[in-house]
Amino acid sequence: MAPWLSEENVGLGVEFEDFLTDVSTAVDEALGAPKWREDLARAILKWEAEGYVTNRLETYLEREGTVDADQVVAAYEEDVAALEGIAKELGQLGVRTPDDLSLKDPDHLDQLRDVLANARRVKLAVDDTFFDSEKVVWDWPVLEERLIEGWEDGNKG
Amino acid sequence: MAIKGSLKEASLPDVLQLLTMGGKTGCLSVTDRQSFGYIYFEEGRIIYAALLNRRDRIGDILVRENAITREQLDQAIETQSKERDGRRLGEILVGAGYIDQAALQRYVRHQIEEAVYHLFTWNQGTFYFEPGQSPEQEQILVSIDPESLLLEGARRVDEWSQIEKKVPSLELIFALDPDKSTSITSLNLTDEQQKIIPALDGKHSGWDIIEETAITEFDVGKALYGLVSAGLVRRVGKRERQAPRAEARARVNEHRNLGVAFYKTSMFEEAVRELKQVLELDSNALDAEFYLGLVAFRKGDVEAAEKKFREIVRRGGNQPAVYNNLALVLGKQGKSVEAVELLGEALEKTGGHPKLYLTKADLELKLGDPAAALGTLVNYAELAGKKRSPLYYSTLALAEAMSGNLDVALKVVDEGLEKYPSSAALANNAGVILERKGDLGRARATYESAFEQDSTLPQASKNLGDLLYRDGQYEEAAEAYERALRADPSLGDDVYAKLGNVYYKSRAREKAVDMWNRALELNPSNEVVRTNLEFVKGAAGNG
Repeated sequence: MAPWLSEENVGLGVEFEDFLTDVSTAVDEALGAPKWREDLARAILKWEAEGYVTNRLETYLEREGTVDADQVVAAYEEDVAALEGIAKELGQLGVRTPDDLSLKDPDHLDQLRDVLANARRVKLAVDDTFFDSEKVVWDWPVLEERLIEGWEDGNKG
Repeated sequence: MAIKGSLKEASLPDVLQLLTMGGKTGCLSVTDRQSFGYIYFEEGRIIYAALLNRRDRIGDILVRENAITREQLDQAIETQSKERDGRRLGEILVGAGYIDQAALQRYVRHQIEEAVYHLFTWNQGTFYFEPGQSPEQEQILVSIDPESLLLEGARRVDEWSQIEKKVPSLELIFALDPDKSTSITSLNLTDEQQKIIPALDGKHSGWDIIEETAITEFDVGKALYGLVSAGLVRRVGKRERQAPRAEARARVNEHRNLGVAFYKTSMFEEAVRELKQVLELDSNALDAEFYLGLVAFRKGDVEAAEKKFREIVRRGGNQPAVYNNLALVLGKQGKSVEAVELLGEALEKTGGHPKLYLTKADLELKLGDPAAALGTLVNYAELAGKKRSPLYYSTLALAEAMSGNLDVALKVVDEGLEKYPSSAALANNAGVILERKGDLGRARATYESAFEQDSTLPQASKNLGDLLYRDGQYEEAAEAYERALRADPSLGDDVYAKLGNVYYKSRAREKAVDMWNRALELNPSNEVVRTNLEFVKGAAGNG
């Protein structure tokens, strides 16, 4: 399935109606099926229309048995929101996304977070001598200073 | 550094003598793997001792010894339950004028001595001494020369081994022999024997008798031994562990206390056993899950720890401790951005905890954002007040240094090292800042100080090696690098590369090639090392 806003589609001037027909064909089997399948299918339609890669949701759709569609979709949407935040900040920093990563693919979230972290570092012109973990103790050895080891420690009330 | 050992290899009296001679301050935990005891030392003298999961019976002892009346005790207990400032019972009794401080001290001392004598009877298990630990503030402290307990302790150990022949367990239930119960009053019994006779009814176990009479384990055991030996009393059964609700609750608490105590002394296997028992009795005990997460973290199984902490959050355990530790686990796995987001969420939900800010600042710095870290550290400093940890000083100094403010950074580490002169990690990082500033003399002295504080800190040895290498002292540099690699074989490619250079200079070509190959394994894009290897290969081919 080609992403809705891929250059290929935009270049060919594909109409929204046509696109929906394409996507619907792929998921129409799911509609009218159990509710979780319908919910997943609707989410796929929605996010494909927004240009996002929905492989993760499609994998769930292919599964046997029951899937907690609410949970799966909520996690997916959380990642989409994180991707939007990263896209915005990378834009502000004027950084291009590497070719092998897509800001529309929630499965690239971890790598994109690293890209953003590096971009921030460069932008801030940080003295990177101090990132050398052979010289600087970054992984603080005194765990008691880092862990909170009392279950009640710092509870409200 | 903590001292650990087995009671089979070093008996408790030996350990006590060692700590006394060394003038040590700290907490000695002793366990026979089922029970737990603590002895606190201050400059080699015992200041406090207690057995875990034993009711604090100072009140009962005072009543038994006629130091106070039962009514006065009840009144004090009621006051204690109403107060919120957690005063100890003894303090309340002194405050109310029921007993004077000197008498109270005498009884507390007796109680502490009894606890130590009891620990002497454990001949298997382990001990763990953690320096610098002190008892909870509200405990009444004494000062006992441990050597003064050794003689009586040894006598009790001998006697206890005799007692165990007739009274092998305090779980056993005893009863008076009905044929002899009428003549018993005419016999010459000890005070303890007379006190326990009403409880020898075929229903009370040894532990129940201790609970009811407030007589110590040793004295109850001894009293029973005499009565059993004389044929006046016999064993009629063993206490069945029923599970009425109150008892189940008590058992949950016992297992929980043991689990936490084992965790704190790094006895993880035993901790897991006890915590799983808690969960068997109460599947909703999120705190037990929490400690299981901590055990996984301490054992280096970050994935299992992450799973545990996430599960607790999912089940509504919105504690600062869970969020903080989950963020640390995520950070360890390189998911620092997610960890920072999580901590932001946690600070909103929980109302804040100094460590949440410190963890967040540390992660922000690792993500290359010293400005954000500096902002977060302001919040930490406000909440922590004067109790700012060495990690705070290190993070703050690095944030300033990374922003180019080396002089400010040096002021911060100076302040931190004045407060924590034994923090090797802080000293090491101070050295890096000095080195960056070009003050190599002070940098070297600071690295040396870090190494003296902790000879296993790999970075301190590596940094010393670098300065020696730079100075042309190759042999000394090689020693330092080798030490760094013994402490952490995966420290990084640079240490292997430089060690390879040193070996090459001393004509140890094979060793040099081995080191360079290892450097390349850790960092395949190290072009300098690759060139060195090609050069050596070429030279060998030409030769």
